[in-house]
Amino acid sequence: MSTKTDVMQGTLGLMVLTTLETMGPLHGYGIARRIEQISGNLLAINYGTIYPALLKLEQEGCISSAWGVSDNNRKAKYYRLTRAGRKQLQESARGWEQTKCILERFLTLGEESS
Amino acid sequence: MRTLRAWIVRLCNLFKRKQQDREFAEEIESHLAMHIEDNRRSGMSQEEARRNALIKLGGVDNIFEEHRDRRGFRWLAELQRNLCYAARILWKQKALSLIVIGILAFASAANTAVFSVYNFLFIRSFPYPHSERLVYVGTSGGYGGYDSKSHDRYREENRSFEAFGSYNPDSRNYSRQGEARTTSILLVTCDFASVFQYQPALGRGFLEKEENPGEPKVVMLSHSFWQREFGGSVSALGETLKLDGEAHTVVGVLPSNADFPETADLWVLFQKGQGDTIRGYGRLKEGVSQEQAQQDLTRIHKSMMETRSMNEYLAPPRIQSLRERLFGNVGSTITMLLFAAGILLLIVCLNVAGIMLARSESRSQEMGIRTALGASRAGIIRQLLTESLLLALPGVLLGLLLGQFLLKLIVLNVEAALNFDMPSWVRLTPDIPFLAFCVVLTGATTAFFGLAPALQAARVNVQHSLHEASSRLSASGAKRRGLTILVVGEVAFAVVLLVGAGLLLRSWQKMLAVDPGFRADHVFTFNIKLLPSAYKGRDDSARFFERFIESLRQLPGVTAASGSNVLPLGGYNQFVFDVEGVAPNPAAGPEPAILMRWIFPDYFKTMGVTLLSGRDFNAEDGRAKDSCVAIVDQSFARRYWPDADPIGKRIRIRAEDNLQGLWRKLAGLDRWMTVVGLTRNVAHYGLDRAIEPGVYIPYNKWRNSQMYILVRSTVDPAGIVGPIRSQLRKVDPDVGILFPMTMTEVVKRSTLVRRVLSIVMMLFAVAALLIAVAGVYGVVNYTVSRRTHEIGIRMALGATRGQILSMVIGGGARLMIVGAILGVAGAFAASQAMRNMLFGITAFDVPTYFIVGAVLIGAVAAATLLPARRAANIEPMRALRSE
Repeated sequence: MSTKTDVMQGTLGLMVLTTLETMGPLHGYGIARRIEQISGNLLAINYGTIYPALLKLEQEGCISSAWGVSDNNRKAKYYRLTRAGRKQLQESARGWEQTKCILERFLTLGEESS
Repeated sequence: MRTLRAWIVRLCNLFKRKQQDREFAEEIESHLAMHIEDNRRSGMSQEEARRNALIKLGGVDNIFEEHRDRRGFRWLAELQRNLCYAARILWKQKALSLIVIGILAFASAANTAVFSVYNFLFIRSFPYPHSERLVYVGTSGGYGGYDSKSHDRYREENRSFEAFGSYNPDSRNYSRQGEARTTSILLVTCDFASVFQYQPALGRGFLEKEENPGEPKVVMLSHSFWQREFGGSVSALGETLKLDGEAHTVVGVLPSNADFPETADLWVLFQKGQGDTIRGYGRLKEGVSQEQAQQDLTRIHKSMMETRSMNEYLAPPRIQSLRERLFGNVGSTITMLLFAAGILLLIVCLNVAGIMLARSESRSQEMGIRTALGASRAGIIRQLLTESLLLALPGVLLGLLLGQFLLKLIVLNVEAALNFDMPSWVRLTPDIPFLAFCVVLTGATTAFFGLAPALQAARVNVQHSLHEASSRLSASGAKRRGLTILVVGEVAFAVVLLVGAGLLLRSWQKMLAVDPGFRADHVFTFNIKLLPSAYKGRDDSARFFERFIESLRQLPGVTAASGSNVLPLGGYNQFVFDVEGVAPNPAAGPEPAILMRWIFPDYFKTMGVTLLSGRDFNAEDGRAKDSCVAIVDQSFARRYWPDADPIGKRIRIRAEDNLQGLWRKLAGLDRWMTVVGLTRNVAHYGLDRAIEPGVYIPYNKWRNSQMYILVRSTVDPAGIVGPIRSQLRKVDPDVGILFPMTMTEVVKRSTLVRRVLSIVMMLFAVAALLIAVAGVYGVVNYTVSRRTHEIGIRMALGATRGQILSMVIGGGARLMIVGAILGVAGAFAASQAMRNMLFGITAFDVPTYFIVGAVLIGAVAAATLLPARRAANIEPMRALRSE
């Protein structure tokens, strides 16, 4: 049970980092919205789960936060990618890429043999 | 790295909880507001928009909880919560908590104080580089030492020591710019300082060539002497000091920590051939064991003795570790005290466990509710342990303070009473092992008294405990059994302590009741040392003492005055004697070493020693050149002439194969001495030691440059010191008084260790007894209040008050009796271990056990009377209605 959440949080963290890289500084609601949009219906998450993930990333120094004002003149907490976060993103992305490649090979191998 | 950062942030967050809660709430609020706005824009109604936003967000409480966990540490937060809760609970029962903390503090004080001493004696290392390699070199005879020739051979031929030095404490008359005074010195060989690696604070140490006779005599100043006499000035170097009239040049100043093995004002360098009874310290080479060094020196000793005449024979060398040398005789005492303190702590823990158990009883409903609401067993145990910790921690901390205070008090007392300068490194201050001990103490007590109630509470049956209010009669049997076991344990351990303390107290009492053989009251004593330069021969010094003692007799209030080489209860001077007409009998074991004292006339009158028959020495005996007389004590007479009158018999110092044999001839004591008197025995080796035979000879048959003077007066000794000093100035203004003391003080000092030991043990035992009584009282009281209903029924059915009284008292007495039986069994075992600390009684001393029994009966009465009366006063009607 807990390992599943961990995996989820790991991927969620990566999604948050990519979102912040492409979108620039953004608030929690915006990030959650964006992740939902990008993933389409494939990934239905509660928006609330984004916050523990954000906190974890912040504690690890990957992102930083500050209160700001939204487009609609609303007070909101904005998250921004830090240098350490950018580095982390590159590393994780490379890792995922590799995993994907390896898995792909396995999967195509499976198709060929069947 | 990133994880570490996260940890630190989370740790810091512990202190910002409220603020962060608020901030997160704001963030969620703004999240919802934005979401609602978006939803409205896509055409939902306000109501629908809000509902959708909340659903999308997920359970708000869950998010908060998860966020909070992520922020700090769950267990730390729980600990914090537990601590707050525990503090509240304990605060609600202030009186009880304070009592618990108080008794814990007392027991920890006892433990920390005793452990401080134990730590110093057995664990801490001495403040010398590689102090584990330092050893003491003495002779196997115990008293005395080797001579300077042996020192030279040991130093030259040993293969075991990195450095080897010898020393001899002494005193000299010191004068600088006219004024004369007695000063303490340490005669040392040139490499003595290097054994301890003392570096001179100023100037230089001694050189080997300066040991050669004929070289100028040199001296080093102790740091305090340098400060005192020279104001710490560099100009002290090269100064000339007169010691016993001889000029000595100051070559250096010792560091301030050079107060071991003895504190002395000056270190004077031995010159070759000087010194007869010297001892030494050595620094072993790396990797050389004490046994190897022992064999090494024994080998040198053997080869040395082969070339010596029988008269110059010396006892073989004996090596001891520093620890053995310094603390060998107090180790077992301290270990015993540590055990006693441990037992006391155990009793306290049992008691507190009982209190906690009784309290957890009254809280079982609370536990039931908590369990019903989903608290885990582990959670409840953690909660209860936190409460225990919250009691144990202040208890131990308070105990630490109290213990340091106690320790200071004991040390000050001992120091003052022994008139003993502790080396500066005798520090009983806390250090790492000490702190570790305290941590273990806290942990152990917490676990000990907290765990049992916690486990019991965690076993709580929800149904049961919630029902309990309505079924008080049946419940809690197990708990009462638990309490009973704890209290029986308390009583048993208290009995062990009581018996131990009782045995020691009785030994002390027996010791005080010993007739020392002399009357200590109204006797004042001091030591006088004459300069060899001013008093060359034995006759010169004899004349001085004769004149001085005679002048003391003239003082008003003085009824008798005399002198002797050693005081009772101190000093050894033993020889083996030949007795005319009595053949040595090797089968009867070794001949006893006999204490020989040389005394001035009137000694027995001054000391209050009864002369049983014959006569005292007179001035003629002292002056006689070609004859010698002696006085023996009963113990001597009984050994050699059990059936005959000793007067007129003859004895002689045996030419044993020891160094004293050489002196026998020099002293003119190689001839037969005629016994002219018989005295009562004197407890010379200590009031609690066996009485050994002794012989007295007239004063100038031996070296007599140093003597103890004794004055018996009808007036207060304090008032007599002044007149004594002025008489001394009249006889010789250059001589000073050493070690002034009353004989009462001498006796008191000899009983000091036993006194301190029995008082401390008694303190522990009384505390243990009080705690155990409180425990029994608690159980009996608890039982009565639990059985109010039952007692009411009994009374309604016709039980008399007397029956109820005896039922309650009987319950308390049963606890005591079972505890006492177990305790006596334990005490038997414990008293066997402390057998060699007892005096005048056996380990199965009937009076001690009798007194302990009587005390226990009193304790039962104290513990049960109040609850019993309460029980007897129960009114049946009200008791039955009380349910």
